[in-house]
Amino acid sequence: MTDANSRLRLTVVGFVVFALFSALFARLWFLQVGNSTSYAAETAQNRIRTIREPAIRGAIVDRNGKVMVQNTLVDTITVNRNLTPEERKVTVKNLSGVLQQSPESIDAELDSPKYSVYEPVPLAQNATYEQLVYVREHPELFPGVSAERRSIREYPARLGFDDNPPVGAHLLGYVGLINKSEYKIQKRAGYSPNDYIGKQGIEQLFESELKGKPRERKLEVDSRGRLVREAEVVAPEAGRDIQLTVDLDVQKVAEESLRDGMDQARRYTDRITGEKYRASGGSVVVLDAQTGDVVALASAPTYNISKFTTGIPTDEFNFLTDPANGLPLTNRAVQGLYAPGSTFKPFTLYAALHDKPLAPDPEDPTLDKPFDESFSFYDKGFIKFGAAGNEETFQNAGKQANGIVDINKAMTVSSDVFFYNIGLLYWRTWGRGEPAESSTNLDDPQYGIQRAAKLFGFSRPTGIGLPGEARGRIPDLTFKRAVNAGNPDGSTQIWLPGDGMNLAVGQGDVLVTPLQLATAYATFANGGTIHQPRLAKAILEGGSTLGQPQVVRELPEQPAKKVAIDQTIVDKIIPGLEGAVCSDDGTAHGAFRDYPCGVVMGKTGTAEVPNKQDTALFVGVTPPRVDPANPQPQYVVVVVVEEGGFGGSVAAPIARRVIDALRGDPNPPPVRTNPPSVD
Amino acid sequence: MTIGSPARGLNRARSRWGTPTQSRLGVDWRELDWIMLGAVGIICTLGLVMVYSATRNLTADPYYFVKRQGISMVIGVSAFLVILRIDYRKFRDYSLLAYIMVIVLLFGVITPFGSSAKGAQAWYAFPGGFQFQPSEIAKFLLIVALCGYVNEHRGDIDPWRVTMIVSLAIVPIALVQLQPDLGTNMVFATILVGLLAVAGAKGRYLIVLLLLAATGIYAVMTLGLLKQYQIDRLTSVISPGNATQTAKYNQDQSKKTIGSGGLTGAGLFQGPQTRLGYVPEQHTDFIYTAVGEELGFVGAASLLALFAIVMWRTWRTARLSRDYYGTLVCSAVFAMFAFQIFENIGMTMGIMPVTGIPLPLMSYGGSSLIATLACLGLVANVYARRFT
Repeated sequence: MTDANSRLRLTVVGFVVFALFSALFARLWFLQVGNSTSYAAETAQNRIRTIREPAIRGAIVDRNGKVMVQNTLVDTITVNRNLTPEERKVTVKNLSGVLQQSPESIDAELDSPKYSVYEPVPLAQNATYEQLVYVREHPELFPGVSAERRSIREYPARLGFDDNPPVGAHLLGYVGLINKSEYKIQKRAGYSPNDYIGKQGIEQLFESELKGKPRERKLEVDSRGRLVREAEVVAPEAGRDIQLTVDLDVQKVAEESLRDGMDQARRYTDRITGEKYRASGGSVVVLDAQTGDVVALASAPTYNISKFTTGIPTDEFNFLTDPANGLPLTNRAVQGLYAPGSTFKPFTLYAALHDKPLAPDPEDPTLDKPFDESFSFYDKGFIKFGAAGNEETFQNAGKQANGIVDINKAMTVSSDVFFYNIGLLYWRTWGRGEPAESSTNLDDPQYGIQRAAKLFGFSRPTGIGLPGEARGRIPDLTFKRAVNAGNPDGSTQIWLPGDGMNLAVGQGDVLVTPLQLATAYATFANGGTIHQPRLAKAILEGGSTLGQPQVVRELPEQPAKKVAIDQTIVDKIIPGLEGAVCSDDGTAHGAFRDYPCGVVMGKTGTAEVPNKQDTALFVGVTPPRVDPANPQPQYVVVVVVEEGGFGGSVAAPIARRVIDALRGDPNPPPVRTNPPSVD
Repeated sequence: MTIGSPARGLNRARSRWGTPTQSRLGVDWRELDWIMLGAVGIICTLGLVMVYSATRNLTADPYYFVKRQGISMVIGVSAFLVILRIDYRKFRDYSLLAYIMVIVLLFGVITPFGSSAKGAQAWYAFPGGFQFQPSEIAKFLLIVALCGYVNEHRGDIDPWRVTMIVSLAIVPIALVQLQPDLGTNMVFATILVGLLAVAGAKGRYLIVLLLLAATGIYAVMTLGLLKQYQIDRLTSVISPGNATQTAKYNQDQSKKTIGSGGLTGAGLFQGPQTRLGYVPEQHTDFIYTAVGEELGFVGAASLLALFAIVMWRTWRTARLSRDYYGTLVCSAVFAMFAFQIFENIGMTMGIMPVTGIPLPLMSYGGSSLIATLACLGLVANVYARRFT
């Protein structure tokens, strides 16, 4: 090695190689030091497979600690998937005989991707004792088959009809295998495709508390997926128990009374159609007006949630979702929308006493004076209005004339004509002619009834938290125009006296849910607090309801909103509502005949529904007044029976029995409905 | 100074150590490059340990691969010592023989004498399960052959001579391409370019050569000269029995594995990726991932530093060589190592494409280990005789 040229060239080559080594060094630093945590996580994901075994789900108890939902163990036949093809053939053939399932369906389960390959596949939940014994005694016929105990939901409180379905189906909801869309949402929360998840009701609402934390086994597998060792076990955490605000006894009475009342309603004939009432569905809601606590929440027809615990057969599920069977899965208390009919009248009266539209002076009918509690009116059974020769007639249900009615009698006998007239007064005072007829501004004086309705919480969800809650509707001109968009008839684009008159008696386009109706009456009765209904009062340590309940945390009363309600006006309305229950001519008197006055106030309703039989409604409040200095529960009971006929004859007797239970009678006398009379 | 020791030549008097000692090494042991030998020793030992770590779960006998690698190492060290004994200048005289051996070995392997595995016909199989990969030894022989030729034509590296040198290299490259083995050919090409660069070929010849090489590789890959599965096999390391694993998967796993080692690594024999076999071909081409995962940045960077020391000593030997032939030999070995190390480690870290090039001294594989030690024997030889 001598010449300078070669030395120079060697130096250059040396520099090139030095640069290459520097690059390697830099890259190594970047990979291992600059960026290594993410790589470490990725390699862990590579080799760790997590197996989750669900924790024991929390129990659900009523406000007094009575168990509504708990768990029970069932024997389940499972099959290990690591079988040779020969073993599998034997197992599938023999199991098919024992379990009465086709070999194809067993094969399909065994190959189903919803189960982890490291876990045995559950084939028969709730296997019979004979099946278990046979499988255990013949291991040679069932390679890879074993029996294990699994926990499923159990419902100790049952109803006394049909196949004794559990009490509170709609309230509680059920637990089922997670479906695709739920899995998509819950994947991040650590659910796997064969997990069970709460569906509907409390089971869904409190899923995160009830579920607990699963036992997690982290298995380490090699590059071919073979199990190497169990790397880590995360201990399970039992799901927490939920203590509801619901009273199991009242809930049971509510459901059974509703069912009984509906059965009785079907014996009566609808005089308009000449057919028997269908009584196709109904609901009972009991709220504590002072706190917003839900004491009972019933929907009919109900369904047997215990059938979901081991997987409901398809034909039974199809039955439940077929409209011809009354859609039992629908929770009518929060999802059902009904015209409230006359149960709406207290709010109309509240509006009139508040807004004081001009009304004919009883002393001198040629003069007008502002509407007040002294107003009276001659109810001749119908009311006509409009230009002579083109008059429209609105009449009482049953067309009976009530004679002279004041505000109390109007409520007690439920005079439609009296309330039609209030609707008409609004129009006469403020709504006649342009621009009032075309105004969509709800602050305008002619829309006082809408304002009052919204003040009491109608037309918006109560926020109870149960899935699918409807918001209801209080019609106004904006709504009317939207419905009649493009209609050239000018009368469809303005607010007419008839629109307000229909609204005044809770007809036309008014829609409310039973729960909304209960909340509105509660607000009326408690002096103007809209409580968001509360379903649960405490979260308890899992399993502690069996012994000494340990409270994890109390659930506070839900947010409440104070609304500006004039108590003096409310006080003027209450006597009429008391009369509806306790005076001889009260529409609900038949149901509460033996009740002393002052214990219950209420209002019946018989709402007309296009193409259907009338909806029977009743709302009762007991006691009507609570002295703030001496707090006590104040219950609002709402009963709605679809196509059930008259509120007084069907709904009020159902409510009566529920109120009996609320007043402490654990075994109230049966529901005694009355033949349809008048509303 | 021992009186009466036979004088073996005038040059011996220039030894720093006074009178040379007689030794079976054939050279004065004090003249050996102990820094390089030390680095090589550590790398070889680490290689055995990492091969054990990567293979102990692959076979019933956890030492199966280590034992075989140990035998190869013994053969390789013997080859090193034999080559060290022979004055490297004698190799000059056997250039033609070396070249003929290259051709014979590489031709023979693509005849029925050779056997094929993993899609390439690249091995001679011997009874007892031993295999010999001629293209590895060919690297050593080709260095000897080309250096001899270039040495003879010192000072007249004109276009004609460049063409001749390239032509000499093209024949073995073509034979290897028939196996096919793109990785070995890239090493051959590097040896060629390194030699020409140091020998004094003008820069533009080198550029033309690089362009030709790039065009050639492109043509082989795309013009239908190879079937798709061959291209796949050229460009990826296939895990036996698992044809779905692609080169991308290998490289992803490889990067993740090195990255997961972090600063200090999972600990020797503790790396889960290595233990559970997540990196295909980890004991051969991807051995560096085992180092990266289990010994972390500290270990992997140290290994890189050890390689850098070997490179530095080789480069230094090229400069210190007392003659041009020695410089050429060391430069060729230097270029070959530089390329193999950079390509292999760069591939495991995702900055170079996946080609089947082993990491010298580390990767499992006897032929490669023996050939590498033989080449290092040449370098040690040049160093030990830098004064004689």
